[in-house]
Amino acid sequence: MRVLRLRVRSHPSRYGLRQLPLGQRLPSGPLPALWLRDAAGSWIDPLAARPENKPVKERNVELQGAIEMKISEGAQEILERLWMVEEDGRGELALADLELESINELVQSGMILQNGSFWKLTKPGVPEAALAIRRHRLGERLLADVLKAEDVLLDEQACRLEHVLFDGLDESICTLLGHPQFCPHGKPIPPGECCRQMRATVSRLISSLSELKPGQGGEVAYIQMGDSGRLQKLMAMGVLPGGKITLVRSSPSFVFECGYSQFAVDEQIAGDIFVRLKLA
Amino acid sequence: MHNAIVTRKKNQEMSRPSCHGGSQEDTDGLPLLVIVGSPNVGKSVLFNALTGAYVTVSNYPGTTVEVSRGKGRLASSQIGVIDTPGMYRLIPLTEEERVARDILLEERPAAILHVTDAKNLERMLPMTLQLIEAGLPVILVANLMDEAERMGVQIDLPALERVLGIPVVGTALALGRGTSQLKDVLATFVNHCPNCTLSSPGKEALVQYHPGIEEALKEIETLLFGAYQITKRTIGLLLLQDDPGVAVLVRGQEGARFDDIQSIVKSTQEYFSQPLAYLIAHQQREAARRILKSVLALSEKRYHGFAERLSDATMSPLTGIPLLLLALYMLYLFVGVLGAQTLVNFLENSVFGSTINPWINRFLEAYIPWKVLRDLIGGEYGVLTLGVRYAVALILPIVGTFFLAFSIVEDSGYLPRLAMLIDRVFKKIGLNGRAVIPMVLGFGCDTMATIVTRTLETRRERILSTLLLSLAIPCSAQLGVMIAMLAGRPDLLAIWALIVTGVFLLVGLLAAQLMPGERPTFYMELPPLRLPTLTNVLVKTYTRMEWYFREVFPMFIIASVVIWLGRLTGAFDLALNALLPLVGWLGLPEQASVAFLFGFFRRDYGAAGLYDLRTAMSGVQILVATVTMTLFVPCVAQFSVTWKERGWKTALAIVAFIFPFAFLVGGLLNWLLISLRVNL
Repeated sequence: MRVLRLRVRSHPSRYGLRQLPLGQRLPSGPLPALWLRDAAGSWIDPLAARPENKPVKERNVELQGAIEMKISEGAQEILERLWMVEEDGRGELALADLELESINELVQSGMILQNGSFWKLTKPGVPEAALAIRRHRLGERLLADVLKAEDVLLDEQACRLEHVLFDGLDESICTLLGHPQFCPHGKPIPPGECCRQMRATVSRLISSLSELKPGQGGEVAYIQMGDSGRLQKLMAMGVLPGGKITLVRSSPSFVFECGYSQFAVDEQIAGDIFVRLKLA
Repeated sequence: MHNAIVTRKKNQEMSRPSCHGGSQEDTDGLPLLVIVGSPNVGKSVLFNALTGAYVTVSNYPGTTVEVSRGKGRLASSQIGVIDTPGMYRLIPLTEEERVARDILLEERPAAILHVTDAKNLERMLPMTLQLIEAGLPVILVANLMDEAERMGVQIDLPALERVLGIPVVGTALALGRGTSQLKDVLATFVNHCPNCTLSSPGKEALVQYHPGIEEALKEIETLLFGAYQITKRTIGLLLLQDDPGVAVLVRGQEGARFDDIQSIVKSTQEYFSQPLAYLIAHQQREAARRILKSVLALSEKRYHGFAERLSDATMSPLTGIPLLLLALYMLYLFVGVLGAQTLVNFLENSVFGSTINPWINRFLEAYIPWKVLRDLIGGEYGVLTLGVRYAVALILPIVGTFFLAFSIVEDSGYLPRLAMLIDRVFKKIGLNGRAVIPMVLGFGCDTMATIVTRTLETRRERILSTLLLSLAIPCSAQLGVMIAMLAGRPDLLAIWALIVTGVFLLVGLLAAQLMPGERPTFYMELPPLRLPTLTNVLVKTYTRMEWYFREVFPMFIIASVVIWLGRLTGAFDLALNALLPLVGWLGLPEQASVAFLFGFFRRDYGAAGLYDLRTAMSGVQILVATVTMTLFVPCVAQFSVTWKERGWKTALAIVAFIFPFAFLVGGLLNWLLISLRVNL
């Protein structure tokens, strides 16, 4: 149950992904949190990458051995499904689909209630479901942007990954990814505490170009895939992951330097470019 | 599909507008050189160098909006040369890019010259790789070497040649550097390698894609049996990236197999979480980076000279707006004072007023006994005394000085910076900063500018900008005459400018509300500020004036003849009488109706008519007349281009709106000024 099943890119070749066996078992004992490999190929520890001023202990992050969980995975899945049903405006989820054991767990903790033959989230259930959804979609982002997993595997992998993103770890990953607002499929990611706090602070690892200060820059980490028109323009300008980019000015329009060229773009386009900041 | 492309190409050639120095020669049967590359890297300079023709060259992306064809000589044999609008990738985004791409797909070029910006080779090389991948006979032209050297970028061209397996030539075409070397390379290439196409295996494997993509490519290649001008690998790549043109081509060639191909494409696209176009572009870029690692030496230190500091200053609102006003003032001094006043006065009064016209009239009196014929040539509305006088004495100095000043502005690279300054304002009127370029061009000639609106992305933006060009952007000739009329009255000039700007913004705002659509996005490359070269400025000014005159002169003569005929038959007076109530509503003297009648032919002609009346009108009347004439219907040439570019419905709707609107604004202004008892 507590096996961290992650497809980790461990081979230096860019596309070694597919040859790796599924469900690599990580060593027990003091677990080095989550080790991730970024697009540039170096290993990163998302916890170690936390900003200095925020103690790791703050949210009781104990990653020694097993991970303490409040709700079972089955129950979380139900919360997520209920959330998505409401998000899509499909009404309620039918009873027959659900797993009895998990339902009992949720009913006892007062997170869902029955309404005829349907289930709904209660008031305390909503934030819990939001958290579960957030972990799932952050997982998807991580897999898609940093690990470059294929879409068919995305959901499955994210389902496994989300159950380890607990107690601050989700925030670390959220910070690492620059507080993304949408999952790779374009669904919104509910903002966490970190997103609210970090809007003000600058010490994040990845930030959208529109939030940089003039003179700041780094390497393009990834491009937000919301709008295909904007994506085409970015590709035309040659803004692609791995390229160096520096913000020259942010008013009256955003001007950035990419190679030896300068480009002017509006805020929407600047907001689609996520930059891995060069640490001074 | 093949037919469709050919027809479209033919249409393209037939519908060629002659106004921005485009060149259209028949290149059938000749070995073809096709010039491609990103915007603003010097493709048109190369075209001019190879053909001896002149197509417009400026320092902003998007100067060339359509394919030009010309003939040239290479080592004593004749060749056809094709210049194309800038494109960043092999997948076309606009109609013109599609035409250019189809030439690559259909016409078996003898050589493709990929012109690049040497200092940004990393960004440009992916396109070279795509061309090589497609099995096309590519020559890489690393242009702008002078700028690269200044920035401290060193490129090992022989090494690059070895890695890529194609000829690479370093040039600074605008300075004439490397042109002859390039011609030599071209001559050998075209003569000794006539069928290099598709015969160079190994080269196409320069880019290795994700195994999932490679697998799909292999599967697609086995299903392609048709005859293609480019490699099957490229056909597969384009299909995976949803290129509609290639999909149609393949469907035509493969028939039933197309469904199988399509299902491979679908399942591959579903397999990845990111769009394939993006993944493929990313991998091409990585390949370019890998190749350049051993070829390119970048300098650590950034060169930051005067041009860079000036560039920063133009972009900061704090210094940029004063600089803009300063530039406008200089433009006013040059065009408004030197052109529209000093030169016009000299030509009007000294040359025509006191020398030519009296002489013509005396000559006519003495030798031509028929009054009818005398009126055709001389007198008040004669071909020589009115038509030629307007063209030569009024329009020539104004248009000449404007085009000269404008060429300098264009070549400096200032326009994209202006676009960047104004983007936020333009967003409010449903446009984006890119529309600044056609709008500013409109001050030169609205007809030319209407063609350039093609470069705008959405239909909505194109219609909005066409409307605003027709309504509120006076062309240089008109503007110059207005300024000459308002000379010595800076207060009137300021009010006039305020009202016209207000109308521009208000109509833009309302039209954007009435025509909802997706929010436009703004992106634009800011080329380095460059010192304009004298020859290009002069040649460009000359080409434009020549075009303008070829367009204007017959119109002025025809207008004179039509007026003469109208006077002869009485239709002229009928039309004048019909206009009288309108002119009365504006509170203008009766003679002004003549000017408005002229205005139907060309707005500048109408303005010139008003110019003749300026001494007979009060300040209020001059203001009302100039405002109305500025907004008045577009000239015949602009109308026909609008018709061609936007369709007859839009063109007629625009005129149906503008005509009453111009008189409404003029009448309201008159009523307001009179009821407030303003004395100007």
